[in-house]
Amino acid sequence: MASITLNDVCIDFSIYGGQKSFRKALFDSSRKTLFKSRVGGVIKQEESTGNLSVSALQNISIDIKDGDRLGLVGPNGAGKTTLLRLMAGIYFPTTGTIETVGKVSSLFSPGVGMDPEDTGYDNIYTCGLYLGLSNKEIEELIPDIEEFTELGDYLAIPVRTYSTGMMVRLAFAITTAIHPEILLLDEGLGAGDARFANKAEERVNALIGRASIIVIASHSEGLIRQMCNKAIYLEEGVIRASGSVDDVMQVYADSSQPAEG
Amino acid sequence: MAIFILAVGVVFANLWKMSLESYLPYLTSGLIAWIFVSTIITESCNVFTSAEGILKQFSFPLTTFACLNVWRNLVVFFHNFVIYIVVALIFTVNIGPQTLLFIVGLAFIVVNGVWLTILIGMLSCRFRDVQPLVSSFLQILMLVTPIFWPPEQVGNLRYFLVDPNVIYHFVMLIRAPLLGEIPSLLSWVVVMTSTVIGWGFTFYILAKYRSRVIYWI
Repeated sequence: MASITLNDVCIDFSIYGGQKSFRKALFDSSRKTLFKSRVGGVIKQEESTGNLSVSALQNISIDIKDGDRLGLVGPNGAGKTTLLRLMAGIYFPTTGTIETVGKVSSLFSPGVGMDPEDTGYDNIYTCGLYLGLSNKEIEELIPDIEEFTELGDYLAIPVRTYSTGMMVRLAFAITTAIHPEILLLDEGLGAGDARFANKAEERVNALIGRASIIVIASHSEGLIRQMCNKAIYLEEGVIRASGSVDDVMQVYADSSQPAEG
Repeated sequence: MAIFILAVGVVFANLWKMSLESYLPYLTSGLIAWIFVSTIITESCNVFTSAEGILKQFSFPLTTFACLNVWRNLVVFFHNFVIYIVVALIFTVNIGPQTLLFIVGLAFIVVNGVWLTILIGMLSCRFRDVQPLVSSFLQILMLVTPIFWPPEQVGNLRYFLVDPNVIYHFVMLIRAPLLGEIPSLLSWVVVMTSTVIGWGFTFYILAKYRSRVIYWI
């Protein structure tokens, strides 16, 4: 039984700018205002300290349960990635609470944590450990990865000798070999040449079928419609609409019409 | 490193009018201990900033990266330790059961290295100019700490210069056993106090600022 419950969560990013200096923080007590203008209420200023901050998410309350396939849509800077990182336990809420039940796997950028000097096999272990697997679980996944990547003996030599496409295949194979309860995706997972793309798609679908909760942030309407049964439209860190994919997509399309026209 | 020790050893042994036979083991044991401690400190400035990719992808405890830093330097220490073994074999060093005390010293440096790494790592995430500050501070400290010179040389100044130097006591926990001596009571007390206070303070800082670190990097 997996679930994610967000209760009135806000996230503020502090902007340090010139104050990111230890010396200045110590000695410069007369901090001056950096910018007078306030854009769209997103950048705010704390009266007491003069520190600037950006509210990335404001009063977000979401309840995600087993079987939910949630799509996040919204323009750039709407807070989609921030919300995903919050669910992954990377960002912590400034106010409000988040409760996650189940094992969360976040696939934001495949290939993070790979060491180019290590062999393909070593990297399967490294990435697997980062993804929260045990040595034994990784060992069981290796035949599957071997078969899928079709890299053969290349897996036994350092990753730095791989072509970009081979690297992508390996990273993709590792990240999609897991059995997550909650899967967080930032944009779709794509990989390799045309023949490989079909195989990759099957694999993504199988991965998504295994997970009991999926949250995907994407600009692609097709991807959201294909994979999700629920959607949330975010803008400037606020939920503008939530509900069924069709309803939310309608609101999103309506609101982005004037900007495009 | 071995060439460095030999060159410095010959020059300084003449400077202090000491025999090479007693100075070289002194220098070697002190220097390998100093390098262990000081590289942990220098590299702790980058532990979290260089792990940015991983920290922004996975929910991962910060302590892992701190342990990684200390572990890496421990491996380097044992590489440098070979030089000490060679020196100890060539020159007569009073090795006995008390020499094994250096393992206790190592354990103390490891335990303290972890909190120090977390603390400095967090500080230099938030304030990016901490790193050059730390490295120039360590440079001065290397000359002020009795690594190249014996503390007796500075006379009464040692009560102001040597005894309050916390890092010196950490170094002594390794150097003294390697020279066949037992570290002074003062060194034990200083190191144990720093372990307790350091971890206490680091836990407090972690509890307070752990959730902010990801926004700093």
